[in-house]
Order: sequence, then C-alpha cells, then structure tokens
Amino acid sequence: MESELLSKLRTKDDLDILRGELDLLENALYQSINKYNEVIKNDIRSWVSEIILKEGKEDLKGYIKKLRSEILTVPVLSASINFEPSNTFIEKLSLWLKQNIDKKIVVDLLLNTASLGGIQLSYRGKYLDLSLRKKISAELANVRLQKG
Amino acid sequence: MGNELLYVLIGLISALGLLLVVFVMLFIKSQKSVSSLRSDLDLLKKDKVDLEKGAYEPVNTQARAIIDTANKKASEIIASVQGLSEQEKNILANSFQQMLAANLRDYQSVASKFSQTYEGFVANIGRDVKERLDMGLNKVIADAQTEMKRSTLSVNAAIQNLYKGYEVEVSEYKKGILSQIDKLGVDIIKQVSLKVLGKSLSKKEQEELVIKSLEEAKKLGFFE
Repeated sequence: MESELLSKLRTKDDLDILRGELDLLENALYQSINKYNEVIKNDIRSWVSEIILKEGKEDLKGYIKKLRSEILTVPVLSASINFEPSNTFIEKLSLWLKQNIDKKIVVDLLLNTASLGGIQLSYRGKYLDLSLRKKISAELANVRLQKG
Repeated sequence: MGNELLYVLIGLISALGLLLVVFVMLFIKSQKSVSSLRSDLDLLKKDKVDLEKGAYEPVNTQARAIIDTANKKASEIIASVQGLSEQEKNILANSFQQMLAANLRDYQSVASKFSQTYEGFVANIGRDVKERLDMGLNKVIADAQTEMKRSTLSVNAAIQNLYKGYEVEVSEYKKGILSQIDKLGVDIIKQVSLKVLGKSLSKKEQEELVIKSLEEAKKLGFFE
C-alpha cells in the first residue's frame, strides 16, 4: 500500500525534507524511545508526524524502510519558469501533474527570468523548451534583412 | 654631182649613227635610273619592315607598361583599403579589370589609327619618301603617346571615381544594415513579442501560460 505522504509531496524540496525527517526518525529509533518521542514531537512537521504515526503504528522501523524505498521511485520533473511561484500556484501545478502525469510526481522548480514566460522542462532524460523566448526566436528566424 | 651626193649620204649616215649612239646612251642611262629606283624601292621595303617592327614595339611596350603600372597601383590601393571584406575587394578588383579591358580596347583603337596612318605614308613612296616617312612616323608615334597618356589619365580618374563611388555605396549599405539591426533590436522584437504575447502578461497570466505549456507538452507526448 502506497503511503499517503508521497501523494502529499509537491516539490523536490518537500521530498528532500521528508528524506531528512526519515533520517532523524530512524536514528532516534536506534537510540531510545525517549529520543524518538522527542524527535517526532519537535523535529518533524505535524502533518508528516500524524501520517507516520497512523501508517507506522504496527511496525515503525519496517514502515520507514519501506517509505525510503518508495521515495526512490518518485519521479521528478525539472521545470524552469520566469517568476517566483506562490504557494497557491505550486499547489495548482502539483495537482495538475499528479492528475495528468503521475500521482507521485514532484516538481523541481527553477527560476529563469530569461525565458520571458512559459516553461522549460526536463524529465527522464528528455528536454522540452516551451518558453516565450524560444517562440519569439522562432518568429525572428523568419525575419530577413533587406539591403537598405 | 656624183661625189656631192656621196658626201651628203655619208654625212647623213654619220648623223644617224650619232643619233643612235645618243639613243643608246640615253637608254643605258634610263636603265640605270630604273635600276636605281628599283634599288631605292627595295631599300624602302626593307625600311618598312624594320619600321613596322621598330615603331610598333615601343608603342606596345609603353602601353603595356602603363597598363601594368596602373593595374599594380590599383591592386595596391584595393588591397590597402581598410574595412572591406575579401569579397568586396574582389568586386572592386573585378570592376577595375573590366575598366582595364575597356581601356585596352581604346589602346587597340589607337594602334589601328597608327597602322592606317603608317600605310598611308608607305603608299606615297618616292625618292624622298624615307625622310617624309621618318617625319610622319615620329608624328604618329607622338600622337600615339599622347593618346596613351590621355588614356592613362582617364584610367586614373576612373579608378578614383570608382573607388569614391564604391566607398559611398559601401557606407550607405552599412548604414542600411545598421538601421535594420536597430529596428530588429527595438521595433521588430517588440512587435513580435507583442504578437506572441498579445499583451504584457500579468503574474496570473504567466501562471496560466505555464499550465497551458504543460498541456502542450502532454499533447506532444513529452511525459510518455
């Protein structure tokens, strides 16, 4: 069964933070129960700890190990855009990707103001430039100099 | 009476003999004159051949020297012009070569005129023709030299005019290109940008454009 945590991840940053939180939890588990309680209470985001406590209540170590394996299969889409995205937009973008591409996919957003608009994508070794700069360049390619 | 008649006949025969001697002497003299004339004619023919060789050669040599010098000078000028590409220099050099070809045609015209004048002199051969021929040839050669000098001046003027004209043309062409580049840098990019964008995009529109681009990528099969 797939963890609810993965479906809530939106960006690669979210994925990296989750990976860090799992490292902390795993280390704490090997130290003491008190350390584990301290970490899950103070160092883990509340919505993450709630899901972990719910999904891993029977075998926490096994659950974390399985979750780590699942994280490795999460597809990452690199996307360059020309503006700082709002939280709402990231949510909207992630929703579109999970509905249309893969329910586990996360996006690695990069800022590139030179693109003028649109998006430049890199996914599973492929690259696609759908930026305005590319479209304008294509228009300019049809402009011919005339002897004045 | 008989003796008197005999003396008259003897006198008459003597007179005829003298007359015959005179005729023979005159014939011999005329023969010498014809022989002398023939010899003069042969000498003049030989002079004609020599003059043809000797008179044409200096004109040819001088013409070629002038043209070669002009060609070399023009090549140096063309090669030393700054700011011209090899292609532009080639165009300029080719233009000069065409002009040189036209000048050579002028030279041939002068040479033809020279030849006609020369033949006219030779046709009037006489005892004093050699002196006249020398005088005439000198005059024709002088005329030909004048013509060649005039042609050289004409070549120089034409080179200068061609270069000035070309310089102006290149300058105007560069101005035109710069003008076009300026337009590309401002107007065309602006127009095309507006054409593509329709209007300047707000952040909301930028966000919508990103989603539309993702839909386009999906249609293109990018995520498969």
